[in-house]
Amino acid sequence: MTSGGVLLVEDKPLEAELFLRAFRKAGFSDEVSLARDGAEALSRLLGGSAAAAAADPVPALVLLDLKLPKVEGLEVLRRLRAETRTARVPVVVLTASNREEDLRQSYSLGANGYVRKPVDYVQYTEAVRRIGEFWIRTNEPPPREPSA
Amino acid sequence: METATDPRLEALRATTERLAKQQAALVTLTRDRALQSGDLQEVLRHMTEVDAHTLGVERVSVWRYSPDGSAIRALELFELSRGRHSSGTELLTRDYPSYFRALARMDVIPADDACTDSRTCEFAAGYLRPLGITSMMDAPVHLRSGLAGVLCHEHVGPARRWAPDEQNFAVAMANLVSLVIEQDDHRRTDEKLRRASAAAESANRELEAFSYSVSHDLRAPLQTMDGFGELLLEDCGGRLDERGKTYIGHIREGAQRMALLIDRLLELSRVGRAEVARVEVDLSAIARGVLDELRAADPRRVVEAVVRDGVAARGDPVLLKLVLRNLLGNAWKFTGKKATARIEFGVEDAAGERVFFVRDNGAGFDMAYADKLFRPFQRLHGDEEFAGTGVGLATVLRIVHRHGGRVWAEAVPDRGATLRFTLAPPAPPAHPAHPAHPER
Repeated sequence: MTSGGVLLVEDKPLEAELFLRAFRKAGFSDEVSLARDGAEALSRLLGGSAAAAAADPVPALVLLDLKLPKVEGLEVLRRLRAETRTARVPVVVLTASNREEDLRQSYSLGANGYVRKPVDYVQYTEAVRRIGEFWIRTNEPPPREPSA
Repeated sequence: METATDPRLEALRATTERLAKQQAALVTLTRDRALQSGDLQEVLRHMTEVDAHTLGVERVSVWRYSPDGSAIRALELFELSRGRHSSGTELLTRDYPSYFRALARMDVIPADDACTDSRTCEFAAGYLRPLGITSMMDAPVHLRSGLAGVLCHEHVGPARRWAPDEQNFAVAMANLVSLVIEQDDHRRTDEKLRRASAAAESANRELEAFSYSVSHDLRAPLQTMDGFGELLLEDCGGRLDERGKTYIGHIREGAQRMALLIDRLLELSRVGRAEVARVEVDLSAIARGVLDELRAADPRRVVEAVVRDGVAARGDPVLLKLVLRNLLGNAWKFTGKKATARIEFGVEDAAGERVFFVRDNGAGFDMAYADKLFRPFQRLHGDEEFAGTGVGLATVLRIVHRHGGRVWAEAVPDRGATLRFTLAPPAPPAHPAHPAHPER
């Protein structure tokens, strides 16, 4: 299985650093790329040209924060689901909020999971380990879509 | 023999003509769409004009009492010969006691000679003579709330006799005026309600935006603090002495505690806005589940928990779980220093009302401070003694209120506390001793 790695959509550099540290500590060596806002995430995933998109493999997992500059996380999710290329890519929302409305909308728009970041870093590291354990090591990714 | 000149027939014909004219006027007015939807001023202008033309009266006016009844104010005055509308004149009721007494008593005051009529002569010097008014015919305007105003007909020129049909017409017009005013009052009330609910909605939206921002933005810096505190220990722990490590522990505890506080506050605010479902809820099952959670989180504690079977209520399952989680959580916490802790959940009947309770034999509290118990951020115990955010019982209070119930507490220091709550407004007694609305 060729893993396309993880795309972390997170606007705060320190939060991104904490994720990366936890991810490595949990024993994952997979590549993690970072998108600092919703627009960057969309251009990474949907690309400009079909050729660029074909060259850039779809990640095995997208970890999506909800409150993002430029394009909000829920809007990113909606646009990903609307495109054939990314319609089935596993997206786990990783965010600070556990508002009912955020949960409802995330799942309605087709999120595969929703994890609330624990403030306690020990618990956070454990959550990251479990996410990776399942979505990278255990889960069979959706088959690749032929490019349009 | 010429029958046409018979004065009785002449009078009859005149009456018939007047009646036809009056009837036509009433029909026109009742069909007027403005009567239902237009603004009050416009409707009254139209009505006073029609009235003046129909009866051939110089001045027709509509007056309304001030809210405290001390004055009447002209909402509308039409002068026939000049075709002029005006409004705003005010008269103090205490200056015309006989007139206002008569108005409260009668359907119509037909004063053929207004300056000498005992009911209207109070107006003679200051009002009638200066304006050349000779005859008056006034009909009270009643609203559901009582006497609210008057419809005045003031005749200028040689005095006239108000015929019975004209008096009837005046009463009919006054009734029409009361309908129009009532409708206008309703519309204003509706408008006020609409504005209030729009304001509430906008406040709610603002609160929603606020809670969104708090949920998302306030936690991130705490994560950073806690995360880098931990990394500091991991990466640089070797260069820190025990004191340094303890301080980092304090920083992390502070961050985590604040995160908990934010969560509880958000919960409290959510509880105030959430819709309250009304379904059958098995409180016994919820209580057992909550106690299992508490036991799992703190397995070293030995607590005797007694949950009465089959306690059910109608309410919102999510919110009621929050109530029991808070109450049983408190009981669990405040029995922490007892060798033999006991927590009980049940229901009792108090004067026909179902009262649920959570009782413990824990630290209790001094009843002198009982009123602080349900206010957010108020705590009766120091953190050294029992940790807490001080938001839990405020949340309970809000949920219970949203179900229409009440919550209260009884306690003895060091002997335990009992928190009681209901989930519905008390039912009115089936056979009240003093009926609120006696049969008339």
